[in-house]
Amino acid sequence: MTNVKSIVINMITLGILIFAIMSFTIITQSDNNIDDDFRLTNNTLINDTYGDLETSLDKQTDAQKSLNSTEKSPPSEYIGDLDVSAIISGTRTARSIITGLWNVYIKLPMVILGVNPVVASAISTILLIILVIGIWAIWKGAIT
Amino acid sequence: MVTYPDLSSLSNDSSIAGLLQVPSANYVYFWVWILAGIWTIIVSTIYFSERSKIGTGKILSAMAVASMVIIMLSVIGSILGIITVDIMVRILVLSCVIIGIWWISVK
Repeated sequence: MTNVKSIVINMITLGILIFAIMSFTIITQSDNNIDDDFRLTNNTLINDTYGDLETSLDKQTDAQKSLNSTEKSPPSEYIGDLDVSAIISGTRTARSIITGLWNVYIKLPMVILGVNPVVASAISTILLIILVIGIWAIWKGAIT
Repeated sequence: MVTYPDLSSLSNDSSIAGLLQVPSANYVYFWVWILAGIWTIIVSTIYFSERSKIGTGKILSAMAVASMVIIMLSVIGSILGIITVDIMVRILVLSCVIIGIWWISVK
């Protein structure tokens, strides 16, 4: 059976590796002052993904970045909604890293390959259900 | 009398970057095919040399190494203006997928 701890560690290191590759590309392009038409950040999905990852991993270093992070947190839309998460916390960092990895691994290839949105939604739903079942199985001890 | 166009009529840039941009002016995938060929050559070289030395070759690690090389070449290509953003995103995504599969399968 697979070792859950090694899988989690592998995914985290893989996420850092992917972030390093994207950083190398974006920083090299910006250092060489190329035209805006050829910049990788022109793609909105990569711009949002990289921007969220970079902000989450580098925030709290100065007041301006903390302000940027606070401004990105939208207010609650529902009256009476109980918001138990802090505006700036480790949970937000982990959540943005997970959503960033989701964008890079699943959403971006689907967009690039031109998958039908209905098919993409179905695949995403199946993946999330399998993930929930897997977490339940780990909790019950069926998978170690 | 026939007048032949010089480089200035084909590209605004008369440097090496302008020379490299000439093939991709009408067909943007020209340098993409070159990169695909370089990727195939690197994968074949690594795989078959490993197989001749050790006896077994690992195709996935060869593909991952070649993908890293292609990422660097595509970054240089985007700086020179011969690879557009759309193509760069596709190369980056496919290379990251291959590197990710290799990373997960090795550990």
